[in-house]
Amino acid sequence: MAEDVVQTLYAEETRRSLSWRTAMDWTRNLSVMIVAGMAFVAFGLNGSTHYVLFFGSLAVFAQLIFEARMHRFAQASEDRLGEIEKNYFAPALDVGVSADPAWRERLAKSLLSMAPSVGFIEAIAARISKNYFVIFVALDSCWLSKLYLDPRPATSWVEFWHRVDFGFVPGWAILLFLVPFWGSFVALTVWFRLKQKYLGREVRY
Amino acid sequence: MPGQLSALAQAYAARREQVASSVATNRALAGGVVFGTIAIAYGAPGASHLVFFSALALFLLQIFASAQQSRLFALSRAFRSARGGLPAERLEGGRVAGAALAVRDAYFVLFLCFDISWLLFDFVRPTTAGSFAEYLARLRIGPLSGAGLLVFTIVFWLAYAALLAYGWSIARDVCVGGADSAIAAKLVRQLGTLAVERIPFAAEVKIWEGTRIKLNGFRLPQAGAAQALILWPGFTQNGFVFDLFPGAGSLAEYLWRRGFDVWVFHTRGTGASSGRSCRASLDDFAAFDLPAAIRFVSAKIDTPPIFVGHSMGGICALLSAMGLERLPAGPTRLSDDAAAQRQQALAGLVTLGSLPDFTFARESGLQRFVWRGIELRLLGRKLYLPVTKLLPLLRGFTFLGIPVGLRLRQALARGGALRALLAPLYLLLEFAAQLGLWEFLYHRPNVSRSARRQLFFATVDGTFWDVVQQYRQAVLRGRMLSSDERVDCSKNYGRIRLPTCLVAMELDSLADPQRMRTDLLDRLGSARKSFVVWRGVGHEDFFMDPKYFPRVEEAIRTVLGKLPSPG
Repeated sequence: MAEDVVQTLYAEETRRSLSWRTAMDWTRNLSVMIVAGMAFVAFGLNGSTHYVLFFGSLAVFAQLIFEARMHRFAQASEDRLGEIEKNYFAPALDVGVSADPAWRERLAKSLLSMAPSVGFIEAIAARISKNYFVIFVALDSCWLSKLYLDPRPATSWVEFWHRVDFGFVPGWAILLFLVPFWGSFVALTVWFRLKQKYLGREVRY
Repeated sequence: MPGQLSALAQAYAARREQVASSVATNRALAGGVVFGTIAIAYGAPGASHLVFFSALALFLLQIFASAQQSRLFALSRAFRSARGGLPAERLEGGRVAGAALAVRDAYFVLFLCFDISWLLFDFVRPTTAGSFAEYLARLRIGPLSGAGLLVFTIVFWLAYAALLAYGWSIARDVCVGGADSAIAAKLVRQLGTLAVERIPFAAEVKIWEGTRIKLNGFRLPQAGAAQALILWPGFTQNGFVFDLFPGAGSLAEYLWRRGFDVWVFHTRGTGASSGRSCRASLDDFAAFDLPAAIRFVSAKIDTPPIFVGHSMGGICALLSAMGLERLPAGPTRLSDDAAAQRQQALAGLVTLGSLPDFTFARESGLQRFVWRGIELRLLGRKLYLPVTKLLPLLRGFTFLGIPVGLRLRQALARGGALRALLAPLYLLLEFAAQLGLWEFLYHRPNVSRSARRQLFFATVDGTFWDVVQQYRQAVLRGRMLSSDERVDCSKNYGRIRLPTCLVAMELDSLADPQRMRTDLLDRLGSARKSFVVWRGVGHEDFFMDPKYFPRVEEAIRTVLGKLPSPG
């Protein structure tokens, strides 16, 4: 493989990876703006209900799905870049570092394969771990604060439950839904972090 | 290799631009959140103070900005390294460093605006609060009382001030990289292996009381049979003064690149050396520390080293070479055997701005300086800080081992709870740096602001009461005596027969060139001695600007090249 082919591939792959990163930055920024907008509406406008925050979280969840989809392709790009850096640049810069003999084969396979190397669940876990865990913490904090504080602080748990009521669905059932929701978030985050730690997969963005 | 480095540098540059753009976007969005909050709070009819819950969004943005800042700095440094072919510093820090940089970049100001708007909102809406108690009642959010909120705000701002100080402290010097810090920290570490390594060492000094201390320092990688140099710093400074800006701005690295085997020492109680709690005078340095250091280096090389001492370092070398000893009972004396041994152990001596006899002190104003103190210009007024008033402070630093200068910054970068405690001290030092306490050390027009700050933060370290007293006596009497006043060093320069190059700086307020010639050069017993005056240079300018490095090399080569007779 000619040197300039590797260097050109590296430059182009970098560009591609940066496009994905820029796109993911925008989805994340949009999610934060949704949180800010929800807070403005929920707390700034007279008579607004807590539903705005509850349903706002669906919009943020949609951004999470979009971002996870992009993550799969971005990670494929980053994997190829890592391969080139570790096996082409590093050995060239330091004679003490040796390249993995199979790296070119792996790189070729990666270029030929149409399927991203990362599954959708793992991509979701990656984006939750990186960004969406804190975003949902902020969103749910706003929501629970709105429930508790607006229009005046709840005086009892019963009053608090009833503020969450959604038609015939009792408030406690809605609040109970938070348990599996946050349980899955925590589980995915822990799983992803452990996988990163023990399998050595790096997520660079 | 150049093609590969170029490709790598381009990739770094592209990534850096992308992250810089993300940081700018983040800043704009955060500004938008602050503006939106203020607009709704003050503009929307009936808006409650709960709208300031949007602070959560601001926090989110700050979290992401922190990660971006970490990446940006890591990438900036990596880009420069790759472009230059070397060297990359080891990546340090991470999330806290990124957070500090984000606070420094934008979030301090943004949260300031945000909090002021919030606190004022409760003060003016719906009508101006009539009393503080009413104001506190308005601040209340659910179960959290107004006073509680104010306390929380104060704690928040203290933490923010600490982060701001930390951000300032690392923005220039520390290369940060978070867990997700870009283009493989591993690779940058590979690049880092090309950097000139500082190999630490520790020379043990046995003091006659039975105490042992360690003189630490660093050596640059050995380059064959190069001539060894021992670089010894001056008063209150550690060895980092020879390595002010690793890379092109380091005198030690310059000399190493010019083919010398460079050994930089931190004097007793400075840098990483131990002995802070000892008593020490110039005699102790001359009788114990220097000989031990020279023995330590000589044991590891084949040919005798050249000793290069700056200011007090040169003075100690002169005292040591004349055979100054301290006996177990305490008194000092001159020993012929010690003088012969010590002079044989060296190939030569270069002193930079070292004049033990302050015969010029009266006319130069140095005596007045010692009496009156350091001149400070504060708010257009002249104030004088007596030197003796500073001594307890220096002594305190020495006793407590509080990391001053570089060690403080290193401690800040290292992290942990210590960081929050040290940040106010750092701010105090930042303020002290602005006072120009150390400006008598250099000629201001010759040196950059960054070099002045680096000198203050990286090298000013600490000293000993006895050293200061010995100096004070020397200045007031105009000649150098041993600490117990038994030996008049000024009368014994004839004992020094070592090849010597004396360097004087024209604008040096601490060592007058003319007096150096008459009071020191003419009295040296060495047959091979030379004298150089650097025109237009102050006491320490040559550490602070690479354009002076060749002059130092020239002085060293003068000793190596069998000195010409003084003209």
